[in-house]
Amino acid sequence: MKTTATTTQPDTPAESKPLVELRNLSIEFHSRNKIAKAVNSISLEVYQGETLAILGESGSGKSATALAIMGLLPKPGGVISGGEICFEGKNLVKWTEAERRNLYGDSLSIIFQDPLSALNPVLTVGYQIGEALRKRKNLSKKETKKRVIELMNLVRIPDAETRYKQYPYQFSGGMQQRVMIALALALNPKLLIADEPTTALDVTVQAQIMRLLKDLQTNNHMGLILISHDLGVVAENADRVAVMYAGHIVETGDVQTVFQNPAHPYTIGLMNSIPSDAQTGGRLKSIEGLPPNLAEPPSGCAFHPRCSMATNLCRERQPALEEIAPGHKSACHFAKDVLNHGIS
Amino acid sequence: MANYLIRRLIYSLFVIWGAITIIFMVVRVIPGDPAAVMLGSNATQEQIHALNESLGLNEPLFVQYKDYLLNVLRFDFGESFRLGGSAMAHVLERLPFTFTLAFTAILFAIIISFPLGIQAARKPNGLMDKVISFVSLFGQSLPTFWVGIVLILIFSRLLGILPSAGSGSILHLIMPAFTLCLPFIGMIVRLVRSGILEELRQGYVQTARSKGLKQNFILYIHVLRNALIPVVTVLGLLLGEFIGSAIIIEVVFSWPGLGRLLINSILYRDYAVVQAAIAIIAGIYIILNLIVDILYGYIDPRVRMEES
Repeated sequence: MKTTATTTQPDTPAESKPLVELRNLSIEFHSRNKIAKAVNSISLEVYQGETLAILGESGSGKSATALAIMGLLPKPGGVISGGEICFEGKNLVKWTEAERRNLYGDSLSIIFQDPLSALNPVLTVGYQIGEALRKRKNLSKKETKKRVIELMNLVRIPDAETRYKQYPYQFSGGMQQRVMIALALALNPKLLIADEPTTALDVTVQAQIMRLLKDLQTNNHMGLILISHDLGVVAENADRVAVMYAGHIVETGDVQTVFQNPAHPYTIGLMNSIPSDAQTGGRLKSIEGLPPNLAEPPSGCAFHPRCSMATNLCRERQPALEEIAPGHKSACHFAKDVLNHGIS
Repeated sequence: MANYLIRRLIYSLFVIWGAITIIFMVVRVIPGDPAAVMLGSNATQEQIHALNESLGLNEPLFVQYKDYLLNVLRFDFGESFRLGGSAMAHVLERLPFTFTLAFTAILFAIIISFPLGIQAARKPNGLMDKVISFVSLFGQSLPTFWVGIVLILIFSRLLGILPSAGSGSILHLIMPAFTLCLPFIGMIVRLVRSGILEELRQGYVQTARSKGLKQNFILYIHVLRNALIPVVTVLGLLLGEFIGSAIIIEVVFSWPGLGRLLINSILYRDYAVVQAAIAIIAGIYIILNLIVDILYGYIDPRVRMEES
């Protein structure tokens, strides 16, 4: 299977042109009398065959980013207030819903966090996996069934012939997520967004699902955006990582670089809060304070109220995301100090 | 499923027993003596006593109740004082008329409310939604007997296109069935609307959108089936309600159904017919509940599984 992937992949041009590129993307959620700025002018790019992880706590804007790329922001309320989402060079923000619909499945696809709620309880699993093939590709019933069974085998659902006719609630959590993956891959997407794909699953199942996703990515040579709050999952599976805090990208770079030489106090805080063997018996470390209210973000650097290094400069001016080493960017006024000496 | 049905049937027997016991007591508590009503105001005390004796109404209540239960076990509800012949035969003769009316009414209710509910849910709080909720609330607030009379005035007297009373053709059914379903339309519309809005927030709708399916397809294939699960329950129970409400409407439109028979029998203290009619109505409620449960399992595969 690996050979087909490598032969169909024109390596050099794909490397030079990103599959999807976000330019200064801003997202707002409007409610009755408040506007929450969920995402503030972020820029990202994902290349074919690459895994980009977006790492952050809940409320950091990572899921909003994923939904915006898919064009699935909740309506009414979710608004793209600025910037561009370019897929293969075309800016999707201006497209109508009908135009975007044609991209779903074969260009862009998404897997959600909780597979049980993402599947329709009253339709069979086989129907749901094959639905896009039937409705979008107009395959016959027989062809669809054949392809669905293939997909179910691909995601390693045992006994696919019988399982085809069953309903989502008859599957375990891990198997439901496999169904969701099969469903997302039905039309061979170029970019797959996995929004916390393993968060709702048992730890042992998590590893299986991530391995499956990685295998499928290699075989299909997809771009993968992995959204997660789990540093372990990100470290093991991503090529590059973008750390988000309160709607901003605070640090980005290769996974190794960022995790070995973090250049933002928030990234260091996240890494320090991983429980380690050395800490047995002691209190778990955490970052002091709470993430900010996005309807009334703090002045200057959004992280300053929780940062031990904060100065007046941090309270007044928002730091820009600047390159501190090739491919490694940080949005901190003291990025160099943090990189070299850690946080005080 | 079979096990479940048997269990339900045993419960149902208790419910029927309760219903026939209560009605036995109630008709005997209502002031007025059947013999006195039947013989008219000129009857002497002796005549009334003699008639009561022959009807078995001078026995102690407990003895009457025992005889009544034993007869009911043989499906014998006694003879009608007023009409003669088996009380149950009279009830069963009228039953198809009431059924026809109630089923037509529920069909009307579905045909009218489902599209309205779906339209209202398309743009919640939009103009269409507000118009629909106003109109259905209006319909719900009108007393049925008044609506019936107004309809007769307009369509029978003024326009002369629909018969005002009686039965025999589809035309006879239209006005009573519409009047019967009118108060329930608002409720079903709201139920359908809120069910759809609730389901539209579910994760599977997002998944369906991520497949590139059209909004209408998602609405009819994915959402509606989930949204209708609670609606089916209510509709089934409403059918029972319809049979109850039919009593008034049958009188307004002189529809020869169970309701009119029941009203007249109560007026004449025709105990046997009243008891037979109530037993049948209770039985219908129970059967409807059972049908709803089975239908529920058909729509929602999760229920089907739990009970097998």
